[in-house]
Amino acid sequence: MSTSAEVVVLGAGLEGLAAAAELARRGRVVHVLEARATPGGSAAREEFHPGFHASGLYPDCALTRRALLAPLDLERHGLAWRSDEPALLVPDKSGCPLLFRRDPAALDGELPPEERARFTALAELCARVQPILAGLLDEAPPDAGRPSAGELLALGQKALRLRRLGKTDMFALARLLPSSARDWMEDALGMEALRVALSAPALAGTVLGPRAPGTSAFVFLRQALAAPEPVGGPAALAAALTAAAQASGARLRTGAAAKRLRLDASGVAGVELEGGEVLATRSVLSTLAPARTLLELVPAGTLAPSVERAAQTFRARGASAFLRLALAAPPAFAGREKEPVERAVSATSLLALERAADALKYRRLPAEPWIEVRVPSRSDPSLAPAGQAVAIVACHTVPHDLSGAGGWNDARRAELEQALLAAFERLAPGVGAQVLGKELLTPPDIETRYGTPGGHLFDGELALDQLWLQRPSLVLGRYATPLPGLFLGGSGSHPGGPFRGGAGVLAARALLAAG
Amino acid sequence: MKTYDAIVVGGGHNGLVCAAYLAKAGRSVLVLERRHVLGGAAVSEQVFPGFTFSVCSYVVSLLRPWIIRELELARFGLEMIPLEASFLPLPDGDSLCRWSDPELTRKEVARFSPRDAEALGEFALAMSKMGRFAKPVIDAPAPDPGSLHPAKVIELLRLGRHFSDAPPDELELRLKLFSMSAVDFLDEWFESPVLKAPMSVSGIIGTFLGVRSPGTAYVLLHHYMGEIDGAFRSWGFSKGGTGGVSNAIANAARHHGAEIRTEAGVQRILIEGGAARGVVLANGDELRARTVVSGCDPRRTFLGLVGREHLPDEFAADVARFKYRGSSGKVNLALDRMPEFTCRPGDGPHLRGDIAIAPSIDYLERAHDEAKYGDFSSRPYLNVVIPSTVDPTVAPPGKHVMSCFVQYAPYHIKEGPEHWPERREAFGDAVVDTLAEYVPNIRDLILHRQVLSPWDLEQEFGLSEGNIFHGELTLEQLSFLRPAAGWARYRTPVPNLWLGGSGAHPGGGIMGAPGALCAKAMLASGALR
Repeated sequence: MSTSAEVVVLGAGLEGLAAAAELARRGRVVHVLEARATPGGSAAREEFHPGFHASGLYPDCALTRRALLAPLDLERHGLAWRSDEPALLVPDKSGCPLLFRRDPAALDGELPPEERARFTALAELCARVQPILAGLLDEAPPDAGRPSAGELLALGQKALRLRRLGKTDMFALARLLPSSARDWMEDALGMEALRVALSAPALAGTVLGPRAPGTSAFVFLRQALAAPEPVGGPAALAAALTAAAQASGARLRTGAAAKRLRLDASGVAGVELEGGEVLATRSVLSTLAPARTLLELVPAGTLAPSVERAAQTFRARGASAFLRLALAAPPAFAGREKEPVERAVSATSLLALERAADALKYRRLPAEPWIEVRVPSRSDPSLAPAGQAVAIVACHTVPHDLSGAGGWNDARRAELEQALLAAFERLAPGVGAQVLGKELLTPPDIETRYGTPGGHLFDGELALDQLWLQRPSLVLGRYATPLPGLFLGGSGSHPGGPFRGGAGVLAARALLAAG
Repeated sequence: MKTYDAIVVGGGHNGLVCAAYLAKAGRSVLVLERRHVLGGAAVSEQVFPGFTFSVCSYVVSLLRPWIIRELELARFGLEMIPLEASFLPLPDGDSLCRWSDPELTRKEVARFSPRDAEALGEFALAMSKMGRFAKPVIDAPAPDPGSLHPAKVIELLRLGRHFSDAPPDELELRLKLFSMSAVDFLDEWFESPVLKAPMSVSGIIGTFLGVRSPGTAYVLLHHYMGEIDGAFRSWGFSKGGTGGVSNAIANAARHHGAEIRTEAGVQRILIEGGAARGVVLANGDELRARTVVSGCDPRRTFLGLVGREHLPDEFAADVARFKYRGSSGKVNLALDRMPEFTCRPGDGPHLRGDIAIAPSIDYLERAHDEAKYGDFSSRPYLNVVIPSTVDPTVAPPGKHVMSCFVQYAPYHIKEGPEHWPERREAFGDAVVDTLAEYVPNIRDLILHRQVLSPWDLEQEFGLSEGNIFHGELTLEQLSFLRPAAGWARYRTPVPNLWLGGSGAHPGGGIMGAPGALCAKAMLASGALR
């Protein structure tokens, strides 16, 4: 055995870097192994056309767990937080698109007074519950079977805080959280563009349309918890985390893919790399997808069948594709040509969101996809040459498994690219003529490039049964695995998904607490 | 004029159960039914001469055994005939039959997947455990998390304990069952689509959800909770049709002294001084009572019979928000002789159970999608029974009755629900065309056909938006939220008015639990002392 480390972190994506930074800060000797040539994982800055960069795969990081990252002092390592929330453009039947912000006070002139009052009531309910939800997200889930006294107390306190909100709020939550986004939106609001503005971004990472029960919960979480993002998006966050981890002494090795775990009688003994090198360690914190960690890195037969089954059944059917565009000029959005729009959604109705999601069921491309556009160069000019722009067109209803349409091939890719460009053209007429270069990433591309089974954006679908205690499963929901020394802490662990940075830090804490 | 202890509005099975319990406790009870026949949606009618149909609800599964026992329903004429099989004909000429004998089922399933055949036993065991866990939930009143009364808080904690007190794998199963889609849940157990499609449909019956919609998995439990006289997991026909259940309950109620009137439609509930004092009939007659129980659904009860002006605003808003969205219809066929399925020709035990037209998950999803966008399914999911194969009393010798439960038939079609009468026969044709793919000569066998759209269910049976369960059985409309937050214990904001139909906890199906639990709550409350 050549080298050794107290802790080996697998994967240098946001979660891996956050875990490494936290462990190193607390004095552990940490090695981070990253298979790719650069750190950042799917948050890495990538040049997709000469001079044009993407700031990570999915630019959205409004749900980053800033409170958990605070002790890492990322600001000292170059991270800055935006002061504003970029408005989201949503087309409206009136012809003038809505520019939506989560804060009702920032919607002057955007909504008719009565609609603004309705939205204010909704936003206030979310705001009242926000501290309780933030508490749940920023703590490790309790042990469901045998909660400790401390965990019971913490849960009891949250229940009490919830109760103190009053019966009306409590019942409203009980009713709306399991319901469909459509039911909640139609009961609470009158304007379709506003309903879409709240619902569409919350569907990313699910395989659902807004009529699916439980989608209200995701709308609620986003409205309650979204906050200003890091300047420079996911890539800036990754860079600051890398710097913080290294400043605390963590050693980062890129181009180093883990092949399997070495075990001995007491548990984890080391990590074997592709190429044969072995790194001795008693603790491994893997931020790779649960299935990769537990079914590929751990020798078969080591874990109980129930644990293997838990890893197998954690659903991670990728449903997001991205078209990265190098543009000669920033797109001008119809009806808001003069404004520096940074985010847009193309759907005009909840019905359109629902229809597009149907394609996932039949493993086909959506006939009429809706897109979520981000123009990250608006706030981070370093991504494109002066005067030019980068646009990321995301579509969240593109199945990884395209067997209903004969599987992925060049024709399907071209078809998808065309449909996404056409949708963008409708939002911003003339944008097609500005395209200097492009890169399409389908779910299989994402799988290959970032090593996420199923090509899922968050290593595991967002679904009510795959959150909190159950992310990725009840027996694995508290970061420790039944294999002594092996911990999970990627996006497939709580809070995971769009709640960036949280799983890495909480997993690191769990590892530290385990001694 | 006589003042009854209780007037029950609606002679459906829940209203009758409630009346029977109150009468048995010595209270004077009057049941008022608008139609000429008792049973509400649990009714048998001779729709065509010689042919008796379970017009709406067609199998019995969740009728609570303690109600059968306490009301001595067997003594009053209840006779159950268990279903022997669950038959799935397939378009490719193959078929799958699941039998009440697990060994036979295992052999059948093994033809499609040996692995699934092995998993069946474990699955049944796990689900039975879950069923036993869930039973107390439907046999007791809903919790009251809004109350800070120590007794209620203890009750809530006990429920939490009941839920969380299990080994981790069982706990995980509980959590998953209440949040997953039927398909995702079954995917964890089985590989064969031929098995998963017919199993998944139990998750969608009566809802406007698809088999891939989250929250549909828990309904799988109903299959495993179905129990008749203690025989776990069996579904059954009632002799003489589903109305046989209602008639037995009515007999029990009468035996205990309840008075039952048919063709006595209630026009409104009499509210005086803010409290219910009786009812006014459609013919203008006024009848008085110390309490009024509604067996109608919440919308009809509160927004129809009571009136918004007598309700607190928040409650009225909750009732108005309660979702119905009927999604199913019924096609009843009188047949000249036994139908023959191409895939299993001839008569046989496979026709003595329920027959599912649910050939694949995608088929079911397509059926759902058509409904989502405002059409009935051109190729719907059908659950077909031929009760005359086991109960000769319902059809003339040699002839048969075939009952087809059809989903999806959305109440809200894009033309508007009031246009259902023009679409009704096209809907009936879609059902017959679907059947003809499996029984090619079905059209030649049909002597008579009755088509019930959700619009008809509303008009004829008073089910709002044609919802067979008095409101969707989705998580946000169950337990302490059914029918409105804080009003799940049969009491209503109108003093002396109680709700004892399927719109109350634990909800729809021929369970009888809402009616019985309502009566027990009334008797315990002192309202009738």
